[in-house]
Amino acid sequence: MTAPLLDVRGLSISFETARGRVPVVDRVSFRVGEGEVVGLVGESGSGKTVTALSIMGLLGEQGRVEAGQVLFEGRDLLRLPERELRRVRGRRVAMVFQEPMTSLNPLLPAGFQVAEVLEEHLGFGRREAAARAVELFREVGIAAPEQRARDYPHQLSGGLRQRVMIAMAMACRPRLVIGDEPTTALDVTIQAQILALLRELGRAAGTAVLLITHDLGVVATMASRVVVMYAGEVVEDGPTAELLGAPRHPYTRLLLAVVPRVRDKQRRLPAIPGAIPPAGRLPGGCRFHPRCPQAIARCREAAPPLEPREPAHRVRCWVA
Amino acid sequence: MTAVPVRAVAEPAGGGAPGVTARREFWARFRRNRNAALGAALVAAVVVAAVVGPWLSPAGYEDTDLRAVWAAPSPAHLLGGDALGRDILARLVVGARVSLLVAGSVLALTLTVGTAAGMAAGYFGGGLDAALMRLCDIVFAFPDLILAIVVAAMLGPGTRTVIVALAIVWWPGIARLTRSLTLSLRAELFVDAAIVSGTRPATILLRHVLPNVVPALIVRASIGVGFIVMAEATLSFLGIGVQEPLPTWGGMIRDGLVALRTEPYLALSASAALAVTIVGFNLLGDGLRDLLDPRVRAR
Amino acid sequence: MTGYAVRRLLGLVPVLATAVVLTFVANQFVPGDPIMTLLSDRSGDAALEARLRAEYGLDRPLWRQFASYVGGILRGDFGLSFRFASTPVIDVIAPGLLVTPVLAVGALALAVPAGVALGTCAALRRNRAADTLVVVGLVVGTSVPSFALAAFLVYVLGIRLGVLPVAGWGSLAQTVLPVTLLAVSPVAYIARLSRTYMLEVLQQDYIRTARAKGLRPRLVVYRHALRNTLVPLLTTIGIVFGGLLSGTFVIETLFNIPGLGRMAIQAIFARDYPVTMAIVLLFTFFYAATNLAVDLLYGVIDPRIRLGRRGAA
Repeated sequence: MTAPLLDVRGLSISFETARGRVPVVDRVSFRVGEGEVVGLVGESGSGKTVTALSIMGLLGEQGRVEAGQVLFEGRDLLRLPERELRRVRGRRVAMVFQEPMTSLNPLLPAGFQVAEVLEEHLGFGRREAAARAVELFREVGIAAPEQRARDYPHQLSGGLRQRVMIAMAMACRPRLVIGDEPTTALDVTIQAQILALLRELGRAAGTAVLLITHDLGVVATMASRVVVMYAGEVVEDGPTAELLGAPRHPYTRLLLAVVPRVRDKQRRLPAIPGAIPPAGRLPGGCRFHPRCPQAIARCREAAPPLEPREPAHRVRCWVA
Repeated sequence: MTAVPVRAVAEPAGGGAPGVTARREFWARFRRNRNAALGAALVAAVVVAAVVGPWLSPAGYEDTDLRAVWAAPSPAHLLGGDALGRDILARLVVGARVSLLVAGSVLALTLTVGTAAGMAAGYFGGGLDAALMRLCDIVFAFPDLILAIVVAAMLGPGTRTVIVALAIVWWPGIARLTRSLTLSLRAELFVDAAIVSGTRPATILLRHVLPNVVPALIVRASIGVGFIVMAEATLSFLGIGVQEPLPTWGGMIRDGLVALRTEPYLALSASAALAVTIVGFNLLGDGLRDLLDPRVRAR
Repeated sequence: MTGYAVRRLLGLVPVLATAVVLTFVANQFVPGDPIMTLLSDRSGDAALEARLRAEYGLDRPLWRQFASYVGGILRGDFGLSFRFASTPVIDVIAPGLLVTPVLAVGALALAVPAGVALGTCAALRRNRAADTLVVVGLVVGTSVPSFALAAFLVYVLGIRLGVLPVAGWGSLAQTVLPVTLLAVSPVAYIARLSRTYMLEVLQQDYIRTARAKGLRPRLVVYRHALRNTLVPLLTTIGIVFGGLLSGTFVIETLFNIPGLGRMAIQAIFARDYPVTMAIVLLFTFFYAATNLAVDLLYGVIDPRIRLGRRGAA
């Protein structure tokens, strides 16, 4: 088997809070292969965004990687000197953020913000880069790209801004694009378009996509594999069809159950009772057991390990 | 396999009476905040000097002693003597009193007038509000000192002039602050006011609006005292502020600069006193703002 | 953009008009009769008194005095000085016009880059020694008035070390201490603000995007962060300039510089109100003009203001 493009091994991250240092990601491991689309799913507070940021080395002052490796194209990104890491960022791994409103610099034209990636990594000249940026705008489906490239972010709609972000990410044809809830802040109608765009671009360029989301519906259409996270741990990890068709972990089952369907005539939207435990106050044993409808005594006493049930399908549960 | 009933993870509630713990927490945070603590210490030192100093010093601030003209520091005159043989230290502590009294008067004036005007404008709106805003705009159009100088030109130099001039310069800031706070509060209180219909506006303003405005006012006032002390010293330095024989740090610096070459003590000690006082008030103001401003705290 | 500029320009008019009215009114309220002061020991001379009153236009009704006052100002004529008999105010203050603007603009040109550089450095080296040092320096700089600082600086540099001249105006060396002292307060103020703004800007999402693109840190700071701190900083430059203008009163008095500030103080003591008011008017005009320039610059730097909220595609 060829080595995966991205191999996250035993990643543990802690955060500095008012109550001291608390672990927010605990020995998380998963892989993304060349050209694969993998969905990273979880509620807010599950640690998925932090995981993504750490891959790019963008954790900030309060976050600290305690252990683990992030192997990308064979190199451990966590141990690269900053100078090397900068050459990877934007060029071989790119990120699309959640908030298109605030993720673009309001004082610079949109086209320029894409062009500067080309200037920085591929050595394009100012005019070359500007021209290529216009082409990239066209590729991501922006109409009248020359005009839009000269526009400032505040003149563009949310959907357009997100397309600009995608153009920015794809500019250097990276091997991996990480999308952190790229469509959550957008209108539902635009969401589908943006997702389709990502999928098409990924396929055309052979770019792998790590799609982070809390929305299983998104994952269903996009990803070939899904990794489910809860309270800083991976709880299930397998091919999309299997996982969504026959979910093994109780949390995954509940996630599926709460997706509202238009056909169902329910008066109340179902929800998973309880809430994700805050980082410093994890329950003993299995982290999900207080909210789990199938918890047994053992779940309270010992934390289950992540084990394969079928080839390529791992679950962390005593019961499943 | 028995199922454990699903139960939400409960968060422990905070305990204790809210009022008492809030105050205690405030003082604990106050002590920890470096700015506030240091500023408070400096200000306290100055206040103590101002209150107690004049009683303790053997020489009066007016007493001239021809033997002590430009004298170097000695046991008799701890900081030496000035051009007329007066004890520098004695004049320094009286100068502290003068500065603090001027600042206090200006604060008293601007806080009462400004708060009342701001609350009225914010609460009643309409023509009153527009008029107040125009008035504030006029004052803001002039650089601070220039306005003070115009007033000084009209009223003639003196302590009263300084107080009036600084009050005129400073009250629009208070009025505007109070007005915007009142506006945002009014949106919340309208419901209450409607329910409690019959309550006179004055009562609403005093009992409901004012207490919410006070923290912001405290911050603004503490930051402003530094400015007021500096402005008073500047006006006195220019000669149009507090007049002889009352000592003022600004005036002492002016007198001392003339003889800086040979007799540095007057200018340097007055400058140091002024610097310490203003720095102290500014630090205290910054610290209080960190502690009291809800926007800063939220971060 | 032109509409914006025109509107701001028109906004200047009421401010200046108010200033003119205020100074005229203030002139009326000053104590004493200026003619009597001018006459001093020749106060018995009725003919002289009548002539002077006519010359100064003080025998006409108030509204006519106001009209000619306004008319005069538009022509650059501020009336006659009370101190220097029969001398036009404009002649009295003209020499100062060459001095004070140089002083003020020089201090501004020094203060803005220095302040921004200092503040940015402090923000980038947060929690390290340099930052704390700068912050302490800034507190002192914003708190201590220039004349108090002058006492120390002049003593050390001018007297003990004899490095720089401490009085007069004319040579380059003589400008150093005054301009520097005048700039201290603004530098501290600007540095403090630019540090705060820079710290805020560095937390923004678009900075994270810039880093995610793999841009060099220098680019991230200069091209992305700095530009965004300049926008809020611009307003303060107007305020800073106002403080600078006020500061010239002190600095010119301190260093015996023949500028408008020192003239104004002397005029106050000499009860020469036309001169005082003329200088006040001029300073107000400079202040208002600077604020206007700042507003227009806003449009240049921030495309959101320049282009307005046009409909999105």
